[in-house]
Amino acid sequence: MSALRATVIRNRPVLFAYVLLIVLGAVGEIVASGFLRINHVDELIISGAFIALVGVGQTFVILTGGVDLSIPWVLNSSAVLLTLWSHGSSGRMAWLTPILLLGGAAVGAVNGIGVAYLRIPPIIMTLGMSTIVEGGLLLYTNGGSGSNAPNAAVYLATHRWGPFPVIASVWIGVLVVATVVLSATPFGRRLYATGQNSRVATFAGVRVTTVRVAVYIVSGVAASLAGIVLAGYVGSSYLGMGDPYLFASVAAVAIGGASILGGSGNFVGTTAGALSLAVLAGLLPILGLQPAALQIVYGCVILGAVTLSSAKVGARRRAE
Amino acid sequence: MIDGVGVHPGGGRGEPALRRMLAWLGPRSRSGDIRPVAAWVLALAFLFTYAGLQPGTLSRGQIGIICADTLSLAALGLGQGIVILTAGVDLSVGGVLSLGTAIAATHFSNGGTTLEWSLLILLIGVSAGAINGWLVGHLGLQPFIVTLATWSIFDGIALYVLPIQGGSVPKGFSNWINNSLIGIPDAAWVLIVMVVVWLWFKRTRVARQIFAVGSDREGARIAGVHMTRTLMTAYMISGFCAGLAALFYAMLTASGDPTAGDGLILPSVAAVVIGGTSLFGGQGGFVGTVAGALTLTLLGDVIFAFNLASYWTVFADGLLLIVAVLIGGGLQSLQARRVRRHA
Repeated sequence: MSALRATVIRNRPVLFAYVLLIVLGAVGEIVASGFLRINHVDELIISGAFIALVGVGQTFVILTGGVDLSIPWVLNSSAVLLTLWSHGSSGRMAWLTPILLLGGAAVGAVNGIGVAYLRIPPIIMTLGMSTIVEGGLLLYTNGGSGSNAPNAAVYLATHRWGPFPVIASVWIGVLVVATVVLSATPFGRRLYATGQNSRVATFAGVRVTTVRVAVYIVSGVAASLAGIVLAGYVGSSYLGMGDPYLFASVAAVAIGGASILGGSGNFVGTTAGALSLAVLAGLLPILGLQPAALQIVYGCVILGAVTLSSAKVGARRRAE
Repeated sequence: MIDGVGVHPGGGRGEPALRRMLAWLGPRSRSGDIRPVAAWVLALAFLFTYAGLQPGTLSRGQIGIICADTLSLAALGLGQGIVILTAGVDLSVGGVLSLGTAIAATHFSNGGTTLEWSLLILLIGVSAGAINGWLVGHLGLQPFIVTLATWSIFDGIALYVLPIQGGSVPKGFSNWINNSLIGIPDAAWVLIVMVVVWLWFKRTRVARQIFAVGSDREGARIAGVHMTRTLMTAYMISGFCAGLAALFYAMLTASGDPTAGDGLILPSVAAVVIGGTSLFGGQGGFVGTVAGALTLTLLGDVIFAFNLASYWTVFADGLLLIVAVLIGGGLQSLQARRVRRHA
């Protein structure tokens, strides 16, 4: 019983994220009846899935006290290269997918090496890499973008088995794997230890540098995967399609209750964060707001979440 | 008391005149920091490379154009540099610049409203800085997350003001940057004025507190530095400079772009880092940053002169930032070792 209570208390920010999600959904239904009908919920889940996919990488990185600003252009490169190289053929996509995921992993590895071994601050390293990837992509494509997305990617992103979106199964798969890795493996424990106090973790025998490189690789792979699915959703690719996902990924993690300083939070929370953002994005047109408002909402959500969590930390410190 | 943390500008007694001059020009280090000097060498190397490729580069008109191209980046770098001195970073300069150019392209007119709207842009910058500074200083939030959020907010507002690239500014406004005063281009004057303002500013009490906060936050607090006030000042200066940069950008492009700022965040940090300011705070200054901004501008020109695709500039900016961080860190530890040996 007390173990359950301890779990609830420890995961209070995550519970809060789910409460927020329910409240937002209810507001949607009140403002526009039919907001929560199954077809629309499916759409919300699909648009939330892209945020969740970039969010899983951002969660891993933020848990170690870092941040990955290179997500938008890794995503964009993956989407453009998929459409460019596959010429819309699903057969080609079969062997392109592992190559693109490897590419994401490579960018992540460079990020991780820069942060862990060369001691470059994460913001600077990943901002620099983002620009390098952007420049590399522009040079390769000469400023153009690809043609149609392969049918397999379209299927993955938009098809539904009855009322159940295919991409939701990807999301659930990622959720299960990420949760098991974070909460039930030695790697997960090392990751939290690194985020809570990297010096103490080092003394405890954790190879902090390896952990750091690994989380950026996870983020690169996740962003690359998100690019593949997003190309399927859009049906093609264009330059700048990754831009909204920088703010979205950070906002999803922040709503999900993870500490921006690292060491606490999980992907269950980020999942609620991604869904909440999708619901918010769905509410804006109903309230008569332009898409530009979404950017403002992302910013306010990030500020609100970090302010709240810092207030809590402050209160706890005062209480002690 | 703050002198104790080594933030007093100027060299020690009994040093050679040249070194004392370097120490006065560069950031205050008793041994004379070589990083800003290295930045100027790099900028001049780029300038002469460009001059070799494009004859006539060293004419007064061409120098004026280079200065005009550098202006908005230099202004961003002045503010960004001051924030980085506090061991922070200001990503929101991108949002403020975007919003500024959007306002300039939609609201400036020949009928005298340009001045009012210009002041409003600067005021928006200062307010953005006040919000950032309060959240970082008073609530103790991480600078990057706060400014990431306000970047997003100001980008969103910019898209409201001007949904797509376009609009225009009055000819009288955009032409100013190409004029010259007593034979020196206006843009060069602005750069000179910014450097002079910096040389004055770094000797003020506020600047010393900013240096102190950046080199040893806890020490500065104990020494009686008001954390919230100091950080708010730093971020407000950065916001003001971003507003200024928006005006220069609008002059240069004679139009507005609601996403202009996104591409200038990395260069603003890169200019500061190439200029020899430490990302960990407490060391550096604007004299080097100007060289960093010039280097980045000339890099684009050199790439153009080589007939390379302009996309190389994007690629090279990112690479240069990371290389500069590594070299800067290397030089810093080298210098620290030398100082220790002499001590």
